[in-house]
Amino acid sequence: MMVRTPATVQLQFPARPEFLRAARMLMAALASQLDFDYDAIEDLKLAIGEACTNAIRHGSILGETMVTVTWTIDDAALTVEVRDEGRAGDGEDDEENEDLERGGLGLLVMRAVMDEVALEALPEGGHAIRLVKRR
Amino acid sequence: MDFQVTTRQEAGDLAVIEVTGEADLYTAPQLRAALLNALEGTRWLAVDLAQVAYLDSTALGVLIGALKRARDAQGELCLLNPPPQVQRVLEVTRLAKVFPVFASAAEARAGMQEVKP
Repeated sequence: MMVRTPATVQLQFPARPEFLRAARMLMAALASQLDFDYDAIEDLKLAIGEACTNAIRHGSILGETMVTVTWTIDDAALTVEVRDEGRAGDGEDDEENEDLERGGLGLLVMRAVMDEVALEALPEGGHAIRLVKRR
Repeated sequence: MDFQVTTRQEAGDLAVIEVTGEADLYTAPQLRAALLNALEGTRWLAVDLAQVAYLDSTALGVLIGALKRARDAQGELCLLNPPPQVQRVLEVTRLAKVFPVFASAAEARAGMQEVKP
């Protein structure tokens, strides 16, 4: 089934881990409609999972905040932006820090499986991760 | 597929931790608890990943943490049957060579016996 481009799809959820799966499933559904192959879909699920995990870690520090995922689809690429409402630098070290370089591992995964990865601390607070996969 | 972790004791002080479903930030605490619990009884762990549909860097961090604890106690943690999507995560994080990998608990027992002090 074809997707008419350009198109924008948005998902917003509370910064809680139980919604990670929903974000991955929507990513998989969109990617399969865009004719990405099985391996690419698995990679896209990994990348969105890592980006949303970062956003949940940042966002959950301040109590109930929201994570917003925006997919932008055009003929050239699938672009995903994941925004949180945390403060810059939040969530970098918590009690589970013995789990070696967690944030760093996630970034490594995103960079390896996507064509472009950009991180930004937003002036109004929070962070945005922009992921691009060319079609 | 719901997330599940079950632990069984095998011969040679080996605990086999069988993981089913999607291992991520949401389910990682369950995985961590099972590994820590197993490490109270033994320092030889085999984590069976054959039924894992998804594994992210958070779950990988939990495995690394348990590996470190096992090695600190002169033990070892190995992986059994990582499926392709898990293998992919291990490779892109350059951690594929950190974990010994075996195809069965019997192989793990034999393989890890060699490193037993």
